[in-house]
Amino acid sequence: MRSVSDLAGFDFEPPSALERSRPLVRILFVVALVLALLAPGSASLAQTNAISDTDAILLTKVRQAGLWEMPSGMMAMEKGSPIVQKVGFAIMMDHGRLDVATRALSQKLNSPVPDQPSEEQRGWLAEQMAASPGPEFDRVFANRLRAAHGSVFAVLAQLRAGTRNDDVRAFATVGNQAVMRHMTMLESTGMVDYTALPAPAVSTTAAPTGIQLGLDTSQIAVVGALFLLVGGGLFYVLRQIKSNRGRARASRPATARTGGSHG
Amino acid sequence: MIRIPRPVVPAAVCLTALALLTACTAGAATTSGGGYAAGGAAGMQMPGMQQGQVVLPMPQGITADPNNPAKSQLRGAKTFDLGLLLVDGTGYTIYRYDRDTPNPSRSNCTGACATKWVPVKAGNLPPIDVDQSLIGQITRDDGIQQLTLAGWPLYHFTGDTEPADTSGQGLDQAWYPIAPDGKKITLTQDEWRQNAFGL
Repeated sequence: MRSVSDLAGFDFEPPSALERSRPLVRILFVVALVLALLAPGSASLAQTNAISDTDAILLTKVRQAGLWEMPSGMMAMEKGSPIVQKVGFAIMMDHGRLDVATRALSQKLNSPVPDQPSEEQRGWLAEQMAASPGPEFDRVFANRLRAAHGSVFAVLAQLRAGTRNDDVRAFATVGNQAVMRHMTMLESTGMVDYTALPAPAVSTTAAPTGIQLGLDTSQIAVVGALFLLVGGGLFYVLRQIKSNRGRARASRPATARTGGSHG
Repeated sequence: MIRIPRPVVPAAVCLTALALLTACTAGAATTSGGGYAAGGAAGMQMPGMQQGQVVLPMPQGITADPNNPAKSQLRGAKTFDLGLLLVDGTGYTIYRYDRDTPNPSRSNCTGACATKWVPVKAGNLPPIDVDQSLIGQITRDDGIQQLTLAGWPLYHFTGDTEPADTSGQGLDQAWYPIAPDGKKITLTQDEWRQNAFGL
């Protein structure tokens, strides 16, 4: 009866075939164990269709943006100077398209959206209604809409970058383009006071390395355990090979005495 | 003498590491999964209706007021994702029908079809950003004066609910939004996204 270890060249006299093949089985076991443990790592790439709180906030924000900017656009068509009339019309059109997409996604993801603008937005609408046609209306319109678009733009960017939901990601791509266009059109009126806009909230201090890499304690522990496992496995494999050689060397002289050897 | 078999030591190390690893990954999974537990409820506080005195004028579809003069006005508009689009004076999309003929101009949408796809009536408001020479009109079999663009009879879609809504696009594989030059718009938002961001 020949075993794998015979073929591998171990010509010592073994106690039994089972005993001989055991080191190899153990080595294979360790390798299989390491592979099995590494496999779940690839599962983290899988996408999810669950909707998070931040996804829901994005839908709400875009929905409410449309609910006050479409009426704003209509007002602009009546009360604005010629360029503001055109900008208002274009914004109304785009928000119509965005709102259709928002409501469809809200239904698909079963995440309800409001059907009224926020109190703050209603205040801005009242302000526009009170403004006299022409330059006064233009200024209120351009600055209120530009400031509001800036804040939605930041939310869209964050969701576009980090959402786990495929539909929300696609939606944020579309919304991002629309809002970018609107900011540019509003600025083209020449009415926007940039100094009145909130300063960018970007951290200028360097984050600690751990945070930069997004590592938390459990992840560090996983890496440590993996290191221990792979290191231990390698140590064990080497040890097995070494002991096999040792046993082979120990048994070889005996064979040499009886049968002679070339080595 | 009790001799501990050599393989036992590294095997024990490996198993401990395995246990540790399983515990850690399981823990991490629960932590990240927790974020999705209560989706949808945030940010849903509705503003009080009675507080604002603002009456919101919202653009209305063809079914709300078919006799609104702005519904007979033709306007070229540029949308952020579909490019140039023909709309009415209130911003609602205008369509053409593949089973109509442009030369000579003839509508083949009558009866029930014409209640779902409402013919754009001739009016008095001047077109905006549309070549006046492309605009014409026909007398329908029911006697209504219907506007045409580049020979194509024009329609509103009763299923559209927002400005620039293109919900009628591709219906019956014959209805499409029409561009200010008379061509049908087959581009969809998905294709636009690929064009804008793909290779």
